[in-house]
Amino acid sequence: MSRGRYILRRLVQMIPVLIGVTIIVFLMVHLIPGDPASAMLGDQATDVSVARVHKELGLDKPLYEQYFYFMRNLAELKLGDSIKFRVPVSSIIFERLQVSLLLVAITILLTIIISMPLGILAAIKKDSLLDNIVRSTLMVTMVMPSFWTGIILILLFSIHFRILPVSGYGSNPVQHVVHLILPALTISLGLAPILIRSLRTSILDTLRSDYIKTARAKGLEERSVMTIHVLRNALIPTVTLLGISVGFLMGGTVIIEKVFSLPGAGLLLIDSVSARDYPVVQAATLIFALLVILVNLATDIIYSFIDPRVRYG
Amino acid sequence: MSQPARAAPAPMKVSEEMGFDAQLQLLQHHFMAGHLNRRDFIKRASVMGFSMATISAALAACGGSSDKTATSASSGSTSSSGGASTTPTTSITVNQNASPVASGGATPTSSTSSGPSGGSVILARGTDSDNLDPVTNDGNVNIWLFMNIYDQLITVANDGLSLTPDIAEKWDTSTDGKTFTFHIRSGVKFFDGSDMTVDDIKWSLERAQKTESSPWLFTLEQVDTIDSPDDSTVVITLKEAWAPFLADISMFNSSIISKAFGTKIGEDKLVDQTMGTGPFQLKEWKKAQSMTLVKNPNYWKPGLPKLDQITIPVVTDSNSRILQLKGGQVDGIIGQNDIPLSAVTDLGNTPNTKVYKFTSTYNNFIVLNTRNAPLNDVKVRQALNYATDKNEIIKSLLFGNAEVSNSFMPNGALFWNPDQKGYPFDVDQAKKLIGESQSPNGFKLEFQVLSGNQLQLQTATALKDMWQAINVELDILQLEQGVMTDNYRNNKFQARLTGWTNDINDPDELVSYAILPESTQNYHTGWTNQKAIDLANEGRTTLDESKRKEIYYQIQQIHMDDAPFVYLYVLPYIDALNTKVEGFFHHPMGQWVFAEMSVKS
Repeated sequence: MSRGRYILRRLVQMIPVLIGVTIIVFLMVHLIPGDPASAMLGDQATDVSVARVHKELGLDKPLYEQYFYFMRNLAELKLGDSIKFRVPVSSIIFERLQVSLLLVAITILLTIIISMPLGILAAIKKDSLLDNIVRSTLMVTMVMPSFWTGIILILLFSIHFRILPVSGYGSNPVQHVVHLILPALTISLGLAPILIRSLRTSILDTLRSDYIKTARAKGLEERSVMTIHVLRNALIPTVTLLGISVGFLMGGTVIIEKVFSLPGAGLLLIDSVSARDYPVVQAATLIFALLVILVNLATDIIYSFIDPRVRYG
Repeated sequence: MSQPARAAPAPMKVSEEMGFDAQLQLLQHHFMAGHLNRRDFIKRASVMGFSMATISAALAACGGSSDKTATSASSGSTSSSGGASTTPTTSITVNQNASPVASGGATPTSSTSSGPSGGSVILARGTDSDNLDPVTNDGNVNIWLFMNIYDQLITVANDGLSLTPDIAEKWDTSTDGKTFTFHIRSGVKFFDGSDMTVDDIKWSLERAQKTESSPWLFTLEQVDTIDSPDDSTVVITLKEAWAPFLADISMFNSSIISKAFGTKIGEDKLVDQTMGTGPFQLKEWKKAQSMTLVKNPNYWKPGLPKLDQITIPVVTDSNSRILQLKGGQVDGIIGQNDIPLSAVTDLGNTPNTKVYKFTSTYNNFIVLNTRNAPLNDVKVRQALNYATDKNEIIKSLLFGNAEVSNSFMPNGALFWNPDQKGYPFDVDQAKKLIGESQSPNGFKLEFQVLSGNQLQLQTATALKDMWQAINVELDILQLEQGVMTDNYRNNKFQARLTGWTNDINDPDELVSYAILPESTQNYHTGWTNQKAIDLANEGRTTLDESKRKEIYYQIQQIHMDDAPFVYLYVLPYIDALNTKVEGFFHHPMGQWVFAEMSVKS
């Protein structure tokens, strides 16, 4: 099967998965106790005011009818209005999603910058001092909870040296990137050790294989051996790991968003669950599901570029 | 909320003597409210260990402002129209800017009258607003902010007790207490430059009175007609004499909104668009992220506001907020409960940062569900009150940042009884009462707390320890916000913490929540007392000040004796600001007062 047809088939397969997601999310948010009216009106809510809000929001209708309206809107690509903020969900969510996506992008970049050279060096200079330092130091940052790493980095770079902003997101693209360095670094420090270990191990495995011996025996430069033969083969498990991690990062950066006060989509989702802001919860979950599926697909496609032997069927 | 362009409200700096400061502040508050005379003030303050110099400075701070307020105060009561009484129902002659003035050495921390104009500040808070429509909104996150955008006819003075002119320069009350004539200030303009007219007032008040989705309709229930006989007069007639009326009309829902703007954009758009006559205007609102206010160049108070712009970002994590303040990224933290009490001392010791404690009406207590055994027994409820060591909770959990509460009404509020005994910590009395009750051997009690709220959990844990002395075993249940609120509303709880702040300076609002069962079944306690209900209704129609005071004192006594609550503490508003920011005031009714705020370059 060609790559194009494969991608198309995978995209079509997404549709039932996403419909499943809408049903599960819809049921979950509606079946947990508490409702938007209580969340909106607080402790001083009266029966009358709760009934009025229910009517306003259409929550007095049966569940299947509410689901039907939701799906009908979705088919017209309408996400509805936020209950809490009384504005269209799309106007909130896409802005917040940009923050999360930019954070994930910078995180991937930083993670690759950190883990590629260190992983390769650790493998080439196996059991050297450098190898041991890399492995032990990064073990520490890996097991440190991310909110803690984040606070330490803030204290160091923002309060002590004052070279990076404490938290927030800034107001123009340059500021956005500057504001995202520390949060991205925080996530990277947790992510990179896993990739470095995986890369190191698979490079070591590859180095032991026969075709490397052959390559060396035919007099190929060590540099070419590493780039053409070793790295390319050793990268596949690492790319898989990175793909899984990125899928997890979509919407999974809540703690980092909170520590660094980033107006990201993860935090929006959590806040919306507390406020029982059903339309936002539904839309955000759906978009996250979509992104995770797309990232997985992208990972599968990247395989075929790294390793031409990978075929789709 | 507008602020008189007079002396600086000088809040109190938190120092090592913080506990003392709070006490002195409380005394000043009572002194200004007339609960204490000068001699008692000096006597009590010296017993507390304050030096004579501090005491006299504190007294001067209370009294020093009275002459400055005389002009506007008397203007409110000298005019008269056709046989009408010239005495407003609520006295406005009490010191209007008797703000919680005091610091350790009783030196005002800043004098804003000389503060520079221009510049901008960034003030962080933990929770965003969700609705800026004065009529349909419900919550401090909104009210505290939009009181800087909208004005009212009259407003609560900085002491939190008296009423002072705002859009109305003065007002008259008819002798039967049913007709109120407001004389409107001339030359008031909206942000867009259009003139504010009696039409805008009539439209705004009628909207506040009739909008079905407003949770505040009860404040204007007694209003019969709103008329504007000429361009500078608004006459409001009531269905019957209603003592809290002037306080009610000063509430945020009676804000004056531009009629032209409201009808142009549609009333439902007022949730995130504003057009008022207040010192600031909403410029930009990124939902759940940040809000930007800009100066209203047409503001009617000369020389105000001082700042050109205020940005209010939402920083949900308390550590982040504090780090941003320390790192200079924001100039202050001002939201309700936004500064963990454990961080107050640390922030107070941080260079370039000051922590302020402002008098509030933020009363905290435990509500008891009195519908079922064992809490349907008054002796059990009284025993729980006696077994609660309020001072210990304040000392160890709140780091001394609160006062013991003795009533369902907040300390210092109008008609709050400072001499009511409350429930002193007395384990013997508690044991005696539980022994006489229907559950002499104690019982198990479920206590619901909000998950993730450290203070609630710590309080519950402390109570578990305290109540063990009378064999009450506390079963602490942590619940998520939505579930917690739902349980409460459906009366599915035995005991939980809650609190409230006054929205008006009249006791009627709190009394209707605590005594009259219609709205929330008395905070879902299910407790009712016919005598208290009769008194509460009588209080509303009694115009005589001293008789009203007597009535509300009686109500407080009944509530205390029947003990549907366990009174805990009154927490001040705690804000932290960079020292370059001056003139910020946190009003006892809760709103931030930005008009006189300035920033040193």
